[in-house]
Amino acid sequence: MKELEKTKRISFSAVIIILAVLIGLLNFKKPRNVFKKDKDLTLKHIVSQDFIITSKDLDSKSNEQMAFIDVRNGFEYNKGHLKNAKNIYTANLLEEANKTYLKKLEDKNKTIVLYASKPNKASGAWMLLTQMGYKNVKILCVQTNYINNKFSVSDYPLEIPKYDFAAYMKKATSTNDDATTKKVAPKKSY
Amino acid sequence: MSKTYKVKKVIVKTEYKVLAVLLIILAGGLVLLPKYEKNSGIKPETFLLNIMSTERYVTTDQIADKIIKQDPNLLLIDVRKKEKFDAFSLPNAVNIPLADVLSSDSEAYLNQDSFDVVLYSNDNCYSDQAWQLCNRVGYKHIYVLKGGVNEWFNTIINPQEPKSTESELTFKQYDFRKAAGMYFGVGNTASTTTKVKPKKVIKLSKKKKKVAEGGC
Repeated sequence: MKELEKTKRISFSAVIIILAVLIGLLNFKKPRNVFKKDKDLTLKHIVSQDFIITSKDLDSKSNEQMAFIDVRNGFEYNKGHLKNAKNIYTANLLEEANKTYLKKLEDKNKTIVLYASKPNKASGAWMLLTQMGYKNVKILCVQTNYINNKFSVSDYPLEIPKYDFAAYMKKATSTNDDATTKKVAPKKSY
Repeated sequence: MSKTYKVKKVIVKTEYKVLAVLLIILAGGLVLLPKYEKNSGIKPETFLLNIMSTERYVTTDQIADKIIKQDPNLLLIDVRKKEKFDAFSLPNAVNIPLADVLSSDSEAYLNQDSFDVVLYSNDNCYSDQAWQLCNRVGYKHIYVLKGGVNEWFNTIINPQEPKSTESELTFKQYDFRKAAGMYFGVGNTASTTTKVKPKKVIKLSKKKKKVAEGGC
């Protein structure tokens, strides 16, 4: 009798285990988007600065190797854009159609060149795509504007200090004394 | 009696075998499952939302205000290279070069709940990238100084005097920036020597007295 009860219990638990496995299998859902690249790899790109394309590179390399993606919104894009550029707004990058388009470019071994009104506006899209495992994604380091009915592109070097900060501060604090002496002068005249 | 017991025993034994074989087959099935792709940190969808949001940006005025009021929750982090940091940095900033953002040493600064961390660089490009990496790993309470040190110099250290036609608000902002600049060590910068207006002679003499006292 005891033996029988044991088997009953075992078969009962086995059925439960099988059910659990089945339910797990049925509910198994692949995440739609995955960061394939390790985050440190992206950091390597950042440190070596190999994600940047300047307008000089545009002339030297054959343009056929590059596929331009305009990550500004549709409104800005319609006003004016680079030749052969396709508009994918950053917010829509994860849409299926856009993902398949990018995948196609990658299969053709093309360099995906992102640009926006300023390079740092494209850096988010770049970060997303590289971390998701797309190869050969670069940022075009230019400032794009729409002036006088014309779409203009000008170089925009990254992170250039506008002043020599240390020297400026030294000067700013030292002119303090000059200013006071200047102030003294009118008082003496009074 | 013993016969039936034996029969039962055989049945039990075969059942065990069947169960064991079944479980082994099921376990073998696990090998056939596709490789599970798992995100470490946040999902790409959330990451995209975070990129699109501009909540991460703080202005130089806000930061100047916080420094002057000595906000204990403020932690400034300079992501430029060490030489640049040594040459000039904002008050009480900590230097974590962009390359070291994800190192274990800097995690203590970036992955915590007690400070509002503000990242800055010359512009806001590298600091933005540092922010993106931090956000990707799931760090919270991290902000970016909009415009970086360049903007700091444009607004706080060397603010442009607004035209007389501009709104009162702009003038108030200018006054604040002027005062903040003095707090950060700027006496009267070269560009502001025009401040010595003939109308304000009396005021100037008052000011001069104070300065002279300080000088002595």
